[in-house]
Amino acid sequence: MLQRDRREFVKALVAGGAGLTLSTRAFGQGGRGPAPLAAPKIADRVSVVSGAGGNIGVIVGRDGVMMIDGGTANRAGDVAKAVNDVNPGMVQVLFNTHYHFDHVGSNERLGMNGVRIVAHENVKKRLGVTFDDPAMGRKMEALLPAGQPTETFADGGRMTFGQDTLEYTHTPLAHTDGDAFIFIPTSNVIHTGDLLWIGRYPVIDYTVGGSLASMAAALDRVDRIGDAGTRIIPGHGGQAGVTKADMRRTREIWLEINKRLEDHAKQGHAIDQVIAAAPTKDFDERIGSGMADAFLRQAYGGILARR
Amino acid sequence: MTLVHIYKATILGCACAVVAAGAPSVSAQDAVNPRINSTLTGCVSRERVNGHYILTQFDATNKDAAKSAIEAATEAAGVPGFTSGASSTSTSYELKNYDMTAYAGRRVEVTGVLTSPPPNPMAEAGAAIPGASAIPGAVATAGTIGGGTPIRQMSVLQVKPRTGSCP
Repeated sequence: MLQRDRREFVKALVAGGAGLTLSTRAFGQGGRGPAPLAAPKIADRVSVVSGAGGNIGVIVGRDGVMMIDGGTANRAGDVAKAVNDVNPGMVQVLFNTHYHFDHVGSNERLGMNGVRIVAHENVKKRLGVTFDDPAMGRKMEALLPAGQPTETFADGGRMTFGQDTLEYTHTPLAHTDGDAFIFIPTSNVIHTGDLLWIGRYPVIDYTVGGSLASMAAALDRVDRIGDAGTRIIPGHGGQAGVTKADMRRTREIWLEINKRLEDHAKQGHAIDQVIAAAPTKDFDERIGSGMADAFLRQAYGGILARR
Repeated sequence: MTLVHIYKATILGCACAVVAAGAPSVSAQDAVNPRINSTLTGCVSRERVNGHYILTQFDATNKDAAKSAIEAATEAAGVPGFTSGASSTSTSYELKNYDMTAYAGRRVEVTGVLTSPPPNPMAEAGAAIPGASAIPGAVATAGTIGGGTPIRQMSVLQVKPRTGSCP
């Protein structure tokens, strides 16, 4: 009897494992393991968890932890473990730099546990509805009520967390319509969210008002905060922190590309003509050509949407 | 191989499956497939509303219902041709950056870039389009992206006249 129970148990485990594998393949995710998460420390009390969507800032306070963004939902468990490895204190606050799914994936998990979620008011509005987003080429799914921001702001503000007074600033219509960057003065660190991308071209959500020119303008605002020694956590890439000089170089490239695209728009070119002209060719090697076409579509879409 | 080994191997196998089910990191930049140009066919309002003409698409499967709802809405509003979301059978778009005067009241095909202003909680009270609260029926269902959502906008790049009548 005992022997039979064991056999049944093993069968059930095998069946369960097979089921998982099958369902994983069904979603087209088989064969690739998840990227390991890294958590480099860039200041005494600030670490960056990366590898699960956008870069996640982790601030260690006296009584717990604050997260800036939360990665993708399918890695929320891994993110929680990585944050716990940084510091085992409870997460007290989650700050969303914008509404994209690769930054708000921990919202529901943390919201269900009563964590304060702070974001710009448009982030809450966007996360409350499912809508088609041509710029992203997909439906942007609403979150459960538990994952919605519990506190919102319009322009910016200050927040006390542990021994830190954090300053957050909204930059209108930049990467999205609800972006905010956040400055941690005692650590001299800024988390830009997706206003800054290092090592690849940025995503521009022009459906909700984003544009490359406004992203460059937003970086000007970031540049006015802190000093020459400020470490910057970009939304993607540069997870060990980058300098203001790095940020300025990126901004200059974006402005140059935007100028070229504006010229195409003035001549009434269609996007296929723009892509064929390869206006980013001289930057592709430095920035990474992998997403150049998608980037051009979004950057040009942002220009056309505003004309 | 003992039962203990079988248990270990099985549990290890399941653990691997669970890890695989964790799935590779999917980021916004990895999943981007932008569509710049969208094409819509519908009727252009006869007058501007808050400075812009409105394009209304009708559900072809329920045109009569759409028409009667539109008539009711426009009659009540006194705005000829303005047909924002009086029923779920129509979807409306604010047309921007193109002089649509010549197409007022006509059926057209427009190509352009769709944008989506932030959802406005006031939309449920009929204020989805600024100033549209005075228009009965101009409610959140216009350009629907979910409850309480405002009308969508299109930055128009090209317009082609199309045959067919407009209410």
